Amino acid sequence: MDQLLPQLVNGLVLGLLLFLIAAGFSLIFGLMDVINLAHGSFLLFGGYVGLSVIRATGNFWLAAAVVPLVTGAVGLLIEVTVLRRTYTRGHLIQVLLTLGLALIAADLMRWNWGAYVESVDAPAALAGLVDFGGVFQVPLYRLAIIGFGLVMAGALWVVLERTRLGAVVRAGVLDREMVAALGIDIDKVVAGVFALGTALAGLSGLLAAPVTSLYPGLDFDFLILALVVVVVGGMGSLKGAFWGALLVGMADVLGKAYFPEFSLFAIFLIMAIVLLVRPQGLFGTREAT
Amino acid sequence: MDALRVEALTRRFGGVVAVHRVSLDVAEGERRAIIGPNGAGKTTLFNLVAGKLTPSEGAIRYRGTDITGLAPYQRARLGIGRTFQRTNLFPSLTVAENIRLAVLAHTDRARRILVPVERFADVEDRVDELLDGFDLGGRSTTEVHELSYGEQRQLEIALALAGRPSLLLLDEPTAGMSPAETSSITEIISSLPREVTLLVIEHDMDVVFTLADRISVLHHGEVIAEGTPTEVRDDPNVVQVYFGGGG
Amino acid sequence: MTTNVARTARRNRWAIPGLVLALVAVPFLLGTFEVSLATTALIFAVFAMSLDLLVGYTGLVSLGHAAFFGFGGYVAAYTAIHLTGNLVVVLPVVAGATAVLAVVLGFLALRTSGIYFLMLTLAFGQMLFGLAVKWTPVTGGSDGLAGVPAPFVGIGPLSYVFAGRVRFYYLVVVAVLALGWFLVRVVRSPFGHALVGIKDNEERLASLGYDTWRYKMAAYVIAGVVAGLVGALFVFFNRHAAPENLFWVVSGEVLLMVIIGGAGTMYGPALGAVGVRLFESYVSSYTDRWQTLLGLLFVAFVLFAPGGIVGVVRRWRNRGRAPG
Repeated sequence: MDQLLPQLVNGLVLGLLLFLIAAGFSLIFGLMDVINLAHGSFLLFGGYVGLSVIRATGNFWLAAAVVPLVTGAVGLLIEVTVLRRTYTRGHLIQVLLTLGLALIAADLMRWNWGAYVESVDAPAALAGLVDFGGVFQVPLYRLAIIGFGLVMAGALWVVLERTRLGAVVRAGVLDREMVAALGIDIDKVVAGVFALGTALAGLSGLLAAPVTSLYPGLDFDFLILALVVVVVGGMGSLKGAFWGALLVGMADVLGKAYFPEFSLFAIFLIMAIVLLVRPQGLFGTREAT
Repeated sequence: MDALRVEALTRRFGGVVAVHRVSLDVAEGERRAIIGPNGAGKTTLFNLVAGKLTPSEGAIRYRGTDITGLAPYQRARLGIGRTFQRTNLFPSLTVAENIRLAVLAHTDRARRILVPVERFADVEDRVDELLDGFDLGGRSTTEVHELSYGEQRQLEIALALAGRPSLLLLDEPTAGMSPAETSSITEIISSLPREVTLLVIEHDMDVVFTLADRISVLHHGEVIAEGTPTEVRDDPNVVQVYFGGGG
Repeated sequence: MTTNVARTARRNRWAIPGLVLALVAVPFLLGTFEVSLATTALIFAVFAMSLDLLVGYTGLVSLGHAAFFGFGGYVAAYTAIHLTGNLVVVLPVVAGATAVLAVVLGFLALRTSGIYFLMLTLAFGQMLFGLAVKWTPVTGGSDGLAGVPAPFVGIGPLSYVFAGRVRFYYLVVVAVLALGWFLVRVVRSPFGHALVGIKDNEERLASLGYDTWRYKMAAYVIAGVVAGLVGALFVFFNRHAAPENLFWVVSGEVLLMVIIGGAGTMYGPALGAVGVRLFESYVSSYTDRWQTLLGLLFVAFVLFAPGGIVGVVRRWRNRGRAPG
């Protein structure tokens, strides 16, 4: 039992990290009908860039500022130069393209940062443990992630639900052509959403690094979890991404803690149940078929 | 026994009632036209009968059997064929291959995996029969996307007929056609054997009056009039709905 | 992408005999390195053809096909190590086990389509990879199962062991020709035609009376079993079953082979597989960055020649014809 509480906290940590990735991924799919298989690559890239910045300057916070700018910029570049050409050509082409990019990215990152596991230290200000009534202790850094994740969730919710820009994005998720017909420059919105998504992914990579370390393969480990999150939570839904992420994060952590050999089955089981009972996801607005 | 019996069929989409307590009795061999202004619920009704949508309330009986819960493919196996308003063919296959697929569906060969598809003489004969019947013989090896619009609409009907259905649902068969193409299609439909019961959605009144034995008029999801073409034409409700004047 | 269902490569009567002759001649004309290369190229050719059944004919784009390839390999390794390497036993066991896996995964994945299907197959593939890495007592963990004995047929003194590069190569030639023949027959059959109908217009096919779900499931199982069988051959070739064979990169590579070759033609993906294997082999002797180059090649095809090599050849052939 005294294992349970710290594991619940860990589940919350993973859940919120997943939310940051899944939210971008889900909005990109909802808005652009593109599943970006390189999304995990942006996460890993962000982590590695952050690692390099920390190695050069010793400053975690500087890295946290630089990383989303870099990954957002790279995302924007890719959207404008390559991805944009595929919108009229169907899902398959887009998927294949991002798959190719993921292959390239994985190889180049391995080339530059090596094939070994790289650990990243949490910033000094957030080092140390927090004591919960002497029953268990949690690293302060992980609590900080929970806090940050909740703040981001709130901020995204406010932007989507309460601002005009958010309304445009939400409308675009439901009916992209209609929004364009209303005279709104949907291309810019799309590019912006994509860049935001990749920026978030990169930042998540940096934030996750002290917890998971960085290694080739982390890109797809997270991508798979993000995919499961959007299948469970429902595509194009922020609420779905949030609750789906928490569910999957908890399942993954608790699964690993109690059934280390079969931890993936907990996730598999959840996904199977959702698919059988409600294929469009818990909060899905679009049909899964 | 009626070929088709629709009982108090209702379909809601959220708060909107697209079809409201519609009942129809279509006799064997009858030619029934469904008409009504846009948004009257004709296509929804069609999709309910075809199985693409499930009703919120009500039942559908085909030759006495309750088919309300059956999937489209099961209804097709029972002998219900349908065409689509927007041409719905198999674009990467040739005309002959399209028809062959339709013919095979009603044989026990459709699941064979090791025999080349052209091996069955009786299937090939039926394919040729349909190609000739629809004047597509010369286009049999043409891929569908190279056909003219009229030819595609003809193929549309040929596919629905391939399985020798006893109930045929035709969704706006003459949509988008020139007068020449329209009269050609109308002739094809008229010359269908009387064993085939027809349910047709149409906007072109000339076609309706040529083909239909009886007409059902839909408005706001309800049947507001039903009868022979003459009766319907003179019905004041119908006149009002089509030409306005009051509520 | 045009499919070439009944028209697939029937033109040249000498193509098949010529191919068989060329395959048989390889060990006589080329060295052991080339024989090994040919062995794996043929394995991947059928692997790609099996995926083409799903992608190019049924329209089910799977990014988890390596799951069956790797799983078949593990089953073969486990059977050969703990039971017997007799192919009469191993192959049916592999086929049966892979079929069961395909039914279970297909039952879930086929509840979706399009991009959801793709994501699910990717997720399933990675989950199986994770299982292979973690379930050490059974799968050997990240080291995999080593010491896989050579396969054989026959009993006792009358057994013929496929040890040695050349003997194994001929085993693979026979297997590949048999499986390839089978797949081509399937796509020319009524079943195969129906699959194309599903890809083109599933709703219409259903309204004609086809139970499309059953067809998709059957295609998924056939594709999975064929992939599992060549996965078994691959493991026998390496004498080792590794979790890497289940990794997404392998699923991506085989999808790449299908697209580069030309989806929906069967022979296109086979050529694509051979081409990609040759490319990998050649390029990796010059640089470690072959995956990047492969990715770039792939991106180039996706953007400029999505119909693959077959598509390019066809366009070139039709250049003299007037449109329409």
